[in-house]
Amino acid sequence: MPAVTVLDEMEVDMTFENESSSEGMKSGRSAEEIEDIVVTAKLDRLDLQPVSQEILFDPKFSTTEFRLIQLDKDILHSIEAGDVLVFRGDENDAAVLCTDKETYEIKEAETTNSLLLFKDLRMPDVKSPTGSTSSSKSPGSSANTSLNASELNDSTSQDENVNPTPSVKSRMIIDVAHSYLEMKRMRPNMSKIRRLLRGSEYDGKTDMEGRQQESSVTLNMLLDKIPASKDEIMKYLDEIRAIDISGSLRLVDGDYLFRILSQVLNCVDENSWSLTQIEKNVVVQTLSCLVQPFFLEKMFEWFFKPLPIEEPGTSSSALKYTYQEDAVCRFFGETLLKSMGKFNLREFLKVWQESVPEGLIVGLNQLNGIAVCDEECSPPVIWHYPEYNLPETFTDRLGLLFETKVRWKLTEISPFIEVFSPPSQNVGNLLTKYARSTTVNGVKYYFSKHGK
Amino acid sequence: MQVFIQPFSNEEGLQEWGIIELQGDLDSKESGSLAGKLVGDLFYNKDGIPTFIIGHHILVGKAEKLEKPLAVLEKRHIQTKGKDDKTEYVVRAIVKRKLCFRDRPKPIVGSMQKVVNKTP
Repeated sequence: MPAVTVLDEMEVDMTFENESSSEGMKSGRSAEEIEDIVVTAKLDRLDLQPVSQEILFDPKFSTTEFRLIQLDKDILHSIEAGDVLVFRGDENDAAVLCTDKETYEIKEAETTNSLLLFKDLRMPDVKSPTGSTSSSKSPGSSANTSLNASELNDSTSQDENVNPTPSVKSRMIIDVAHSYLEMKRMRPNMSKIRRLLRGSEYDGKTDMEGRQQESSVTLNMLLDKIPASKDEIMKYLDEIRAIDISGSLRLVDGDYLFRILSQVLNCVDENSWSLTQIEKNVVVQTLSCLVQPFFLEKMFEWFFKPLPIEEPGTSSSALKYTYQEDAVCRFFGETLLKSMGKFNLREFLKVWQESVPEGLIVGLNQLNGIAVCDEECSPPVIWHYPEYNLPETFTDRLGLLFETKVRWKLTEISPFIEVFSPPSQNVGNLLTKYARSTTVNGVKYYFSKHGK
Repeated sequence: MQVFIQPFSNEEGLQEWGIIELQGDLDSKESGSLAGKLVGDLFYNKDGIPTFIIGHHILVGKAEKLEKPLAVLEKRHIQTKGKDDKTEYVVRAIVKRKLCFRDRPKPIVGSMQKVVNKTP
């Protein structure tokens, strides 16, 4: 019964004879059969390594489901370290792969080739350019981890002058793949978190209305719904000052936060502490009848930082604190901007500087991602323009940005679009692709591709 | 939704598996499951060049290191009481090298009859 082989122009389908269905494949090839094959195929026995491998489909073939995934260096290290990884995202999101720290975009790559997967396929010994085999140097510590001891002997004996007896090993195809997953590090979009938390604002009352209780958001829920790594989610929650009240995540009401921060600052004034002498314990004690102590602790996390202890042996309760300048200034700046529409820039800077505690210095870079300045109109103006309110798709967002302001410097526009830029790339690359640029007096400006 | 990828088992360690890459597809002359069926024979010459003989065809390829390694994930269904079955993956192995047969197979001149058909 001759084997039928189908050949067509583009692809090659190879048909193999099945000789072992009735007898089971355990019998394997005999040495004579191998010799026959070698002779018929006109191979030179003296040039062959003594061990050949017969390739069969595993008896359990197609009962298991395997997936191949191409690994970046970092993920390879995670896998080698035995970390748990997770695919994450809602039905509507593209699937992502997360380590604890990072998020990767996943794409399926199809191939017209067949990838036959083996547990124990023996690879040929790799010869170094000088011609000596790598395994002959130190067979025991060879990089060829797939070899077991007996196979090593088989493969190293070729260097000796004896002609070893040819033998054959069975290798099982456990799966045939026509695709694999590819991954690329990405910056996750977190705006959904803010949306989910909206309506839960904390204003000093720990009891929530019944309606809100039902829709309370937990960290586990976010891990289930947000296509991002745990660390990235936690970091974002910290950035938007979400607090955990008995397992429920809640935003803080802006007015409430302003009121409490003012009280803390009053307390600092009353004690006549200098910029670097703020005592957290005194503040917490003084205000504990008005504000929950846990919230005061949070205030110190968000707006203050401990100074290094000068004398060793000082207990942590004697720690002195100072302001996180950028966080305090940003908060006062945003509170001012929220209260009205467009501000005269110069007046705003004056009022803003006066609003912050003495010794702190305001600067426009502290308002990255929450405000826009237009310095080309007369007089220059600034207004509240939070990144988290912008459209979630890149082209919509870019369109709106160029409607808001005709031309942008890279530093001005970056905070609003950097979420769309892959971590390894510069935001400028995105703009080179999706916007036009011009240079005026040595400063590069970006503007819309579709504009005038 | 979260689908977890569990690490390799400690008893086995992280194994290294192998891949043979072929142009096109493998088909059996007979219909039915491929499980247990013989495909062909693989030889290495002393320079490590692989030759794969499938039926009447001979393929010459080469061993290659993968540019980026592949992880082999096995899909598992976990039964949970009262809930829908959950899916998870387990890392079974890493593939760092493959045998690649990119050229079209050449027919072997002469009869293979004697070889491929076992006498009953």
